[in-house]
Amino acid sequence: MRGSTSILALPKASSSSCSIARSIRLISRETRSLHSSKSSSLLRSSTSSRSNTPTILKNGYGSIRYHGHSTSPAGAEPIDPIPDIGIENTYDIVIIGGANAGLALACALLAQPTISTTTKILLLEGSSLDKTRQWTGEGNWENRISSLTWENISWLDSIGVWKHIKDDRSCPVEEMVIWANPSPSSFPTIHFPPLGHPMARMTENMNLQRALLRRIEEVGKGIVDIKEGARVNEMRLGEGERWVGLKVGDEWLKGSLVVGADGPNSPVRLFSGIETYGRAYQTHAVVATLKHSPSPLYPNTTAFQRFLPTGPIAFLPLNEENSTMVWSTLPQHAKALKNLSKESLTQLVNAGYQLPESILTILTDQMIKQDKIGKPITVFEINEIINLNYVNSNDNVDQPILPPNINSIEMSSVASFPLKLSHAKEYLGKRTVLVGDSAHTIHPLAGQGLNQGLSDVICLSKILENSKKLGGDLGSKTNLIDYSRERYFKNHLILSTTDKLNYIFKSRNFLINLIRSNGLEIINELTPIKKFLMNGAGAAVTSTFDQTRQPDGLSKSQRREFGRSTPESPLPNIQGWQKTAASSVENWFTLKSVIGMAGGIAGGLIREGVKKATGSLQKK
Amino acid sequence: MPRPSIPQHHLLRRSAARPVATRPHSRPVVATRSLKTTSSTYSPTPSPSRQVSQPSTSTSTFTTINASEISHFSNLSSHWWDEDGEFKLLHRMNPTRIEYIRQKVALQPADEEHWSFEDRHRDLEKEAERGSGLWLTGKRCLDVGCGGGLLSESLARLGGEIVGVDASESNIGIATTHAQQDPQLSRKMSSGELQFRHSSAEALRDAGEKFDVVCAMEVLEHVDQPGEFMKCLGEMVKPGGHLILSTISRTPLSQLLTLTLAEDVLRLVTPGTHTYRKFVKPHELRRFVHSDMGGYNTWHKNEDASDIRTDEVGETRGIIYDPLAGKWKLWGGVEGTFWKDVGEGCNYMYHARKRI
Repeated sequence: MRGSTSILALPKASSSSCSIARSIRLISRETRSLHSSKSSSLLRSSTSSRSNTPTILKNGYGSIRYHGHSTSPAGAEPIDPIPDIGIENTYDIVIIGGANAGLALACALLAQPTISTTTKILLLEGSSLDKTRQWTGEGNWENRISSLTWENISWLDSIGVWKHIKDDRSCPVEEMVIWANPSPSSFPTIHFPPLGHPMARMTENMNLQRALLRRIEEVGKGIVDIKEGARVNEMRLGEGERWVGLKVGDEWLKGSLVVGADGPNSPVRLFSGIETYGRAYQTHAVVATLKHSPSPLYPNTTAFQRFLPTGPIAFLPLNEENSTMVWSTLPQHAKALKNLSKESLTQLVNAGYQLPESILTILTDQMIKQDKIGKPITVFEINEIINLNYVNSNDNVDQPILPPNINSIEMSSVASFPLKLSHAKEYLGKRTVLVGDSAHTIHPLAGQGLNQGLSDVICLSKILENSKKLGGDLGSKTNLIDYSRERYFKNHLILSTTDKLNYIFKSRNFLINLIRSNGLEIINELTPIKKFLMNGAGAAVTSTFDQTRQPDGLSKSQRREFGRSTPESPLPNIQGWQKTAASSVENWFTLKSVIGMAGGIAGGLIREGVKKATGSLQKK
Repeated sequence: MPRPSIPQHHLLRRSAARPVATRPHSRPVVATRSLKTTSSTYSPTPSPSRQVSQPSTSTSTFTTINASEISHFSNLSSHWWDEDGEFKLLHRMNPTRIEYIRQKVALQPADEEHWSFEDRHRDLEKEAERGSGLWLTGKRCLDVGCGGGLLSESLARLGGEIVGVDASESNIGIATTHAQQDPQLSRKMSSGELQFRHSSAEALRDAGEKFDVVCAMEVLEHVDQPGEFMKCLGEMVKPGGHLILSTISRTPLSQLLTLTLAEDVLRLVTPGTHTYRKFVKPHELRRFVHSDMGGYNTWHKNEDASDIRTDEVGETRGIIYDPLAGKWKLWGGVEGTFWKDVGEGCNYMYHARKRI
């Protein structure tokens, strides 16, 4: 409460840097107080959800019990035995969840030579897939849009899925601009220049799901059975832990391996008794489809992301006249944004991309205050605040590259959802394995959620193929351990890097500010972090497809072209000690690899020498 | 005791020259030998003159099975399918052993098309194609010393017709129960494609059974008279079939890794499971098959080593445990080189193919 009153008492921001600094400090205090109040309520909600767990259990999979010997506690009500399950209901792999990860896994398994000829797969989806099947790709854009990295697109192409994607509903991202604007005079920016192929493609989840479904229906006859609208009522581990029995409707099925691709609140994870750790960001993401007029000069293929103290606001291109917004912000702010009229929201989104943080703070405070008393802020009020506070900045200051001006917003697409960081403690249960969102959820700022899920799927399909080729029992730990060995730490690295990036970019701490204002310029010269932001450390698919079609994204000639997107708006090339720091870090990496190579050569020579020596000794 | 000069006789020497009673875990061993071994079935074995000195009783129940070994493994039988227990290393080894069998059985050089320079980039692709799917279909396989059925179950999933034999009745019980609980394998059990028998290799041989693939994984180091055991296995291989073994070499390295580290220090394996003296060196095995099991008249030459070896049959290949990856790996290397021999210093695989 104290925080908000002090903000109200704040004098109108003037050109003096002192008052700006104070306002920033006040903002940070405000956010902190919001955090603390929210966190207590969240704690409460989490405890209440914990006490609700049994009901969730009941709603999800009924009683989860072991069948047969030992594990059922003495004195418990007798369990009806699982009736005999016929061959027609016996599967090798049961995939639970017919969203991106589940469908992609089915497609990936169909592309594997051994699995596709010897294995019976079942895909269970709780709701009907007709909506996906009948998606035409006309009309309004869906608000669930994901960025698919180039590696994953190549992989989808190699398994025959990409040809089913509706091309005009998938937008290439050729360039990317990330910037912050902590004070009116500084715009630390990272710019990702074009690579010769799109960095990623913005694709509606529906579009991808339909393509995956079409591929399954194209080649999966007799291999993949799909049961839609089928809820799993009960799950039990079979005799000797050799299979899992699933009661779908009134019918019992069994599978040697159950794959949980059933989303963040995964019932399979619950059945396996796997805990997750993580935390809720005190943040909601507001998504909306934005409409703007096409640029006469440039195609709309640049993704923008601005880091505000409350979280990043992203502008992601869809086509010439549409783009999508993901604004991660405080829950109250998100709620207020959703209550706005179309015109006010348009104006505010423009402000979010374009205005200095000092004015945005005042706007946001006013908006939340008016939302609380039930009178959403109007366009007139917004303009008034902007006009009162706007100060023409010095013309000498470089302007950032900004996304195009928004004309209107598709109101039916406005939605918000809470953001959460979570990671399962294990990926393997008894005869169960987790992929995608059931194993991990991530902040959307790096666009890695779906791509991580696809990487899981690629890895799991390869491991299942290999173990099937060698006669392995698909659900056994010996065969699946490689999956968690390969994916767990990679996923964890992505999760924690994204988390740290979010923290660093959000923070307006004086020290971090100082580091960042120079740091972003340094990152702009550093390949590894840029690479991470661009396509994540995920999917390292190196098929022949990549080698033939994908030119080396960061070849030397292109690396030298940093810092210039268009001739009209040149970005400053960094100079002085910053350049020295960046190049010395780069030189260090080069030196390391050269030393490694030299070591390898020396080792080879020594080995040769030893071999010759032993050879001559043997002769003697 | 005269020092034996020719190492190739180690396989025979063990029970004949050195009394078994010198073993540290000494138990009385009944080592009898039938005189009728070469009578009914196909046998390339040359006249067994050096075996005359062995104690021989004319019973038809000759066996190389060692009773104390059997009681040792019977005591452990309940642990067979505990993937993190006593046989953890064996579970981890299983995929690698099958990979070796795949390389030998499914990817036969004779089946390859003519190799052309233009087509060189397809090598890996072709290999993946040939060894995929149910590559063991139509092959009758024998798994001697199947234990809990680790290898047998995997081979059965690959489409083969499998007979697993073990001298321990409790092992056979475990193997049968375990396979019947598997949704896929229970069908194979009832159709007879997968059988577990409480029997010995010699009994099968005497019954005249023949197999396309004869496997004896980690058995050779547990039997008495490994020479007799090898001959018995060799006789059961159909013409054109494969004999595949895995065992442990008798080197300081194997002493360190399998006995000192795995058994005594880390206790991954129950102490007393292995006996150093019973291990067989790779070249002893290869030379024995050449000298006592019919040589190149019966077995194919190892093409990779044809220029350096004229008195050895078959290929040996090291298989080593990578503790960081938690996996067994097949050791590479060129035949006859130093590093190839180093890799075979502990666990190794043996393969020989019978001529048609």
